[in-house]
Amino acid sequence: MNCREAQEVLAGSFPSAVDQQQLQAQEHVRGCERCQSRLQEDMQLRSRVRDLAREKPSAEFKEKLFTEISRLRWQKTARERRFQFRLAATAVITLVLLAVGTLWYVHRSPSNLVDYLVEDHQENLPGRFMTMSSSPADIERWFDGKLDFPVHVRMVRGAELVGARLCRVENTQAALVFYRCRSNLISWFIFPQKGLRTSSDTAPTVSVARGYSVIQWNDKGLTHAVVSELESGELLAMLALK
Amino acid sequence: MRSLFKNSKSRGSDSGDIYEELLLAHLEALYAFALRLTRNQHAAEDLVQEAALKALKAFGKLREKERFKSWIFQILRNIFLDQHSSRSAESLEDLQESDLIDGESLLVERLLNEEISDALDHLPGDYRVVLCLSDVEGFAQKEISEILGCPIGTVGSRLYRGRALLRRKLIRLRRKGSQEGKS
Repeated sequence: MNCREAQEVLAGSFPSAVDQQQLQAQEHVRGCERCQSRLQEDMQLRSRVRDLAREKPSAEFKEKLFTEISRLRWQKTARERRFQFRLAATAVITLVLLAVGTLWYVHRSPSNLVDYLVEDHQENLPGRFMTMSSSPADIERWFDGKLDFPVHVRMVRGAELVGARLCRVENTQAALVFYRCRSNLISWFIFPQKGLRTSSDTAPTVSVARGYSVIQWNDKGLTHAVVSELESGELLAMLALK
Repeated sequence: MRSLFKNSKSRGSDSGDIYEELLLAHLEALYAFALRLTRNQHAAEDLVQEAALKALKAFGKLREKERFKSWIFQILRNIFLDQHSSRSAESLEDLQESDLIDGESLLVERLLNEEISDALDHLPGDYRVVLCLSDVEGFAQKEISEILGCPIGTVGSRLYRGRALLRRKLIRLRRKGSQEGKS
């Protein structure tokens, strides 16, 4: 190993130099006065370089720099706050829309229910009755055990009780009792009030859909809805609700 | 300066406060390094400011905060390289075998700080940077290789050759001085 190789190995030029090379370099230096003096001088020079006075940044520059950093941080924070505000605003708007939607769904006009009832009434043909009887007691017995609520079958003034069947009103099991007045069919739906989009009024509400009169009222947690092609005033009188 | 910190603390994040503390701790070294690179006060200030602002934006991504010093030095060095890539790189002075192994004594103790500083400033860029990072800032060769993005062997080689060049410059300076003294 010559002087240059030894000095390079010792300077760390060859980080992959194996221990043996390091040992060889050290051995060379031990026997070489020129290398010893050179390495000694290099160390002194390194020490002088390390101790060179550093030029420091001016106070004005430091102040300018940190002012700029503060400004940038402020902008960044403001940006983050704006983003958080937008996020919160979006969340609030979404929640409000959801709440409004839910309220609308729960409390929307029962006109859809009326349509549903009218449709069901229209589809009722005598052959579809599940039980035929003119006796309210018989029909009540027939419903007994089939529904989660008691069905009280009333007589309708001027109409004849025909029969009854089970049906579903918006996924809720309901009782449907039929009457006939002259040639007009009267459908009387009875179903639990809870959970359905019905009016909360106990007083009867009258509506007309597709030419059919629909009278609804609530009584003891049950909703009653009577549908017929008869005129609503006459129907109210027949039901003794006037 | 502390008042500035207080102002920024009241409205900044904790991360921003840590950044300012770390920057302040290493600002002098960063500035000295920039000055060695640019050899001009205004250019060094611009370089430090650009590096500091760029580092602030990226500070959240620095996972090991103890690597802050080498990290911000790396940012500064990259900015410097970007700014100077279009300019022609300083040509590396060819070293002769005699420069590496000559036995002429430098008489280090007789050198003035200004002479050493001036010789250091006039080393080719690559050598000057490695010498500053190693001998002035005390970075290990591995850290320097990370800052410069070059193999550790290259760092060692540049250190060896840079020191040899510095030595040659100083010997020439001493010879010139003694000749002028004689005449």
